[in-house]
Amino acid sequence: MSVLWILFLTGLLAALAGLWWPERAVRNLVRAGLLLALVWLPFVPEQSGFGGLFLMDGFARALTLVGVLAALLASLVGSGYLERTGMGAFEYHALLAFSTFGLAVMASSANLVVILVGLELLSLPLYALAALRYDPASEEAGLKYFLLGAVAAAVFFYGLVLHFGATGSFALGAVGKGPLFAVAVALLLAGLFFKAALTPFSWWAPDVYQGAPTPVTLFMATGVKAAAFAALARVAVGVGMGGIGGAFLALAVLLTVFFGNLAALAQGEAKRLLAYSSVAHAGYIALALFGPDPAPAVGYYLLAYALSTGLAFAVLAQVDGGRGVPFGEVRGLVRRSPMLAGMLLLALFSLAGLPPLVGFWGKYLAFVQAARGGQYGLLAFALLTAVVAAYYYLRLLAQAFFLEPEAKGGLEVRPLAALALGLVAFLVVALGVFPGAVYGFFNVGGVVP
Amino acid sequence: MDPLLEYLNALIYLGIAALIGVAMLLLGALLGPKRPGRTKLAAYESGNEPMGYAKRFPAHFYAVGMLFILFDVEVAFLWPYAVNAGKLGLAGFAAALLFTLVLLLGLFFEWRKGVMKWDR
Repeated sequence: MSVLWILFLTGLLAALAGLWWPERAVRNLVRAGLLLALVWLPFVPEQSGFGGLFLMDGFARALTLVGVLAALLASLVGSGYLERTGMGAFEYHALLAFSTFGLAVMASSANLVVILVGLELLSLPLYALAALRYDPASEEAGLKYFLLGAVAAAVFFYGLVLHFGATGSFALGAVGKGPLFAVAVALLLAGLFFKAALTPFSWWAPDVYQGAPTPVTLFMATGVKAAAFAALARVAVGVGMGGIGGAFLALAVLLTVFFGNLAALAQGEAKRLLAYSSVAHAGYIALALFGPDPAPAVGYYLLAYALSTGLAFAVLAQVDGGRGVPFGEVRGLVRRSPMLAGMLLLALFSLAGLPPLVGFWGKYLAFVQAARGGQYGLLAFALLTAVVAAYYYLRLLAQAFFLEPEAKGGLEVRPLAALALGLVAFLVVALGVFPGAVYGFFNVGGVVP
Repeated sequence: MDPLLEYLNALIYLGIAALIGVAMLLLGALLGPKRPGRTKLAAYESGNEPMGYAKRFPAHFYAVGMLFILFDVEVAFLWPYAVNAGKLGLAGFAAALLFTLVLLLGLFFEWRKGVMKWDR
């Protein structure tokens, strides 16, 4: 409860303070609020309130932590990009705080109505954020995200209504049967597949990720995915993976890992490539949902993924001049800034799942869950596509390391952004070497009461 | 004879007519010579060349529309409270007050941002 209050008041104060204070003060306020929430989270007791509508269990705590971490990173590495592209507006930070509040609401409930409210609280600021860099590409991203997001929310809402019709309850875990319940499950999952960008519903992701300002893309790829999977895990476990839900999810995973990885091979733009990579990773995370104990694997994968993708996008945000990051911009990055190139290397190797980095443990835990759930065919296919994934990560790295730079001169990275980048890079390595350091925090029980 | 079959002639006639039409367009497109020129490709008569960047979303009307929705929905939330105000007591009053206050801050924000100024 207290974390929700911190996030909510941070957003509210930031919005009001921005009317009088300079942007610099507002962004420090938001960072302080997010940092406070981050530090406070591990000490929040497990509790529930409002007759079960609000549920702060271990799973909610873990995924809120991932989301707040992503927001903090987006705020810290974003301001340089914002000023470079002439949109140093305080609204960026205020909207980020509001979106994080929605994320926390969405993660800490096992009630469909509250999840829907959280979904909207998360999404509405994001639509504005996606269109923040007032040019055609950014406007297209915002409008596309808004229209498809509205459709997805409507689909989820329809599923919610049918779920109530079939079981007489909005609470997850209610038992239902028959065709009505099957349709409800399919619609609920479809609505969340959209937010998590699983394939039949992921067509928006590349365009939106590419068009949106890079720090916003960072938050979309990490924080939003954490919230979407918090809800998806609860819904999937709540309705049961035995019937149509399991079949639907298996089909989505199959398509996602296949399409996401294959489409990424053909990209010539770094943000677009990482967008397809994030689609593929959504498939790997969803694999964990088949296991008997999905919560730790989902949580830890999301942490690993948020750190790695967050680091990659944070590097791109330093390179991006406002017109996206075609491969030409990354070319010869090692000459312009060895530090950024090294961090890109760490991030992409971690995303590819190479052992001494944190991404490996995420994949390992997810795949073990899939194996324990008996999904061997799906697992073998996912492993094969993970090998394909290494190719396009290496392709991007080859651009950064082995080619001559097109643009001259070094890159300026602000001290705070450099600090954030360094910390995340450190975590990517340290949590890969000592995965047990924070695993206990993610090793929580069930996801539905 | 099946009464529906009487219309078969008309159907065949329609099919042949459509075929001739499509075939002519297709043959014209495939075989016809194409020599586009600057004048030929220009917008015809009344059309103008588009200039500059079209601002497609006049945000002003939307902002006022959203303000309306905001307070419209607020009333929808206050109705259930108003009906049960007696039962909910002081705690309910505090909650409703807080809710309205947050919305009021939103209105204040919009006001300071100049949404109410029509002549911009």
